[in-house]
Amino acid sequence: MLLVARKNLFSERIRLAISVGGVALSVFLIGILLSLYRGWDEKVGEYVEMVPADLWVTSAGAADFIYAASILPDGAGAQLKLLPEVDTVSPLIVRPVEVAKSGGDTGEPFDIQLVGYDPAIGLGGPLAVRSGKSPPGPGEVVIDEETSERYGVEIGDRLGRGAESLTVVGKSSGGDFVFTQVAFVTLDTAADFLNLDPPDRRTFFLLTLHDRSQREALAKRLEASAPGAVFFTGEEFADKTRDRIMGNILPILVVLLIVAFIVGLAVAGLTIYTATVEKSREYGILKAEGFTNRFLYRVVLEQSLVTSVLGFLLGAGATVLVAPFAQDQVPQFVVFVRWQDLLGISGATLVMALIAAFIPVRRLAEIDPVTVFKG
Amino acid sequence: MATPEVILSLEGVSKVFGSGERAVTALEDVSLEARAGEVVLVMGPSGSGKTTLLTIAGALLRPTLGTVRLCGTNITELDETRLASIRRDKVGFVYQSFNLLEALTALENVRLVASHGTRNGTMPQERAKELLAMLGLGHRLNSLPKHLSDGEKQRVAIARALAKAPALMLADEPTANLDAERGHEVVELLRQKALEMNKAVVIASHDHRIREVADRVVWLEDGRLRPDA
Repeated sequence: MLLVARKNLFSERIRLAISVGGVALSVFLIGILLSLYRGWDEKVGEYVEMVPADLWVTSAGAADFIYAASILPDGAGAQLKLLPEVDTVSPLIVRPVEVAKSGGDTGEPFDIQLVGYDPAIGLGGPLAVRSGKSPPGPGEVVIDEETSERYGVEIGDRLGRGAESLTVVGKSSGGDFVFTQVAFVTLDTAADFLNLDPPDRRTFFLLTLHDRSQREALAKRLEASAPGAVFFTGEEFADKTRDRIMGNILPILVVLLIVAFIVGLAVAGLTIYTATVEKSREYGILKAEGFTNRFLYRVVLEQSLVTSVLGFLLGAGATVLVAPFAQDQVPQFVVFVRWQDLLGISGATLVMALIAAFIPVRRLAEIDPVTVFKG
Repeated sequence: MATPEVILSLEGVSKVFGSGERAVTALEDVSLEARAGEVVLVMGPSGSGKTTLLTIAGALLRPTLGTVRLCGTNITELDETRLASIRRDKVGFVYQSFNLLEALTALENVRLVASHGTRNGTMPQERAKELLAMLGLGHRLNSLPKHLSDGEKQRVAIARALAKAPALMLADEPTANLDAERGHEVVELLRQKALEMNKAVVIASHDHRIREVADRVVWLEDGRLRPDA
């Protein structure tokens, strides 16, 4: 590093601290927002992706697990079972529903994604039981452990909705969608609890095939022969579910990321610029001594790069340290810090440094070395 | 004894700032020479054009008319990059207000210039130390300018100018910010180094006390050299 750049930078510690702090804040905000996005993206598709179904069947126009705006007749399941490629058919009743702890300790209402499944088949039921019993019996529910942690619901508690209520008999994991969690009941319990009329309506059918490699081809063939139904592979359905949630968040996130970038750029740019203006006379002295504009640009660029590198290290460090802590404090604050994202942020910081260094270039070029002769 | 080499030659140099009704003539038909080992003192009142003369001689400003030669090279028509390299290699400046870089120590101020461009064989660090020691600042190598007296600052500035091993040294009011004793000491130092190192020195000043150190004194008034001074 050039002597002048290093000395200019480190001789004014307060300015350096402000500059590094601005870049660090920007990196931290970008890091946290990206990690939050990754965390949510990971969570909201997890259950759908983990369910060992080869195909998800929905009614036309319904393409995600969360809104679950699909209505299929129970008879469709019997027809699907007749197909030679199909091994298992599991009907699901899925509805978002607001419940509250009922009984002696009534709590605030909260949302769950009620999943009615056939315990005899098992497909679409709890992914991993952590405590209590599973499958649930009539009038019983297995909740996600995140629901238990977040709302203080324990085995033996009752979850109510109007006159209906369910007894919590177990806790499972892998069903956390961040803003809601799945809760498993039998098909009949779901129909009763939701007051479905007629009660034989189903939301989805999950299929397993004898030959998994045939799923795309079978999906296409079935869609052609059954216009009212849509067939998704597990990955497709998980992606659609993710898109439904993240598609709404992404534009907001992009705006926030741009704002964070501009904050970092503004702080770094302004401090580099004001430092250049303040040192105009010294740059004039260097010009008078025969140093070229190119040398002066290099001085400013190096100052900007060092500021940005220090800011990045501080901001990235804060992201890695603060993210898990924040997640512990706020359950919805689900973050996933990826090294690829940190690499991308380092690239954005580099761009920040280059732009910040470019701002005073014209000013440097305009410095007239003759002015240094004025006392 | 052979006549010393002409280091700086100004022939019919004029400088006009602005144009039309706002044109201001700073220098008019000035011709001047400075030879190796010679100290030329340019005297004149404020606004007489002394600084303009120095900046033209130092390849910082182009004349409107006339020719400037430095070590035989006509620098009048050179582009900015070539002028910068002329300043880097051939001209050492000593300013009225010292113009040291505040964040750099005395040694670093000198070393920065010594390490810029091609120098004689000595390493920049060693050369900078030698020069500062030679100017009596061996004990102030690591001091920042803010911790130096004005006299010390000017000696660092002289060391910096000498660090380039220039053929021409230009000093603009080098005693203006110094008391009489320090001022005399600094100018004497410039003269001594000019003789020892065979450099041409041009000093612009209106301080009459330093006339005795000059080999030649020229008087500048309203941008013209007065031959009867």
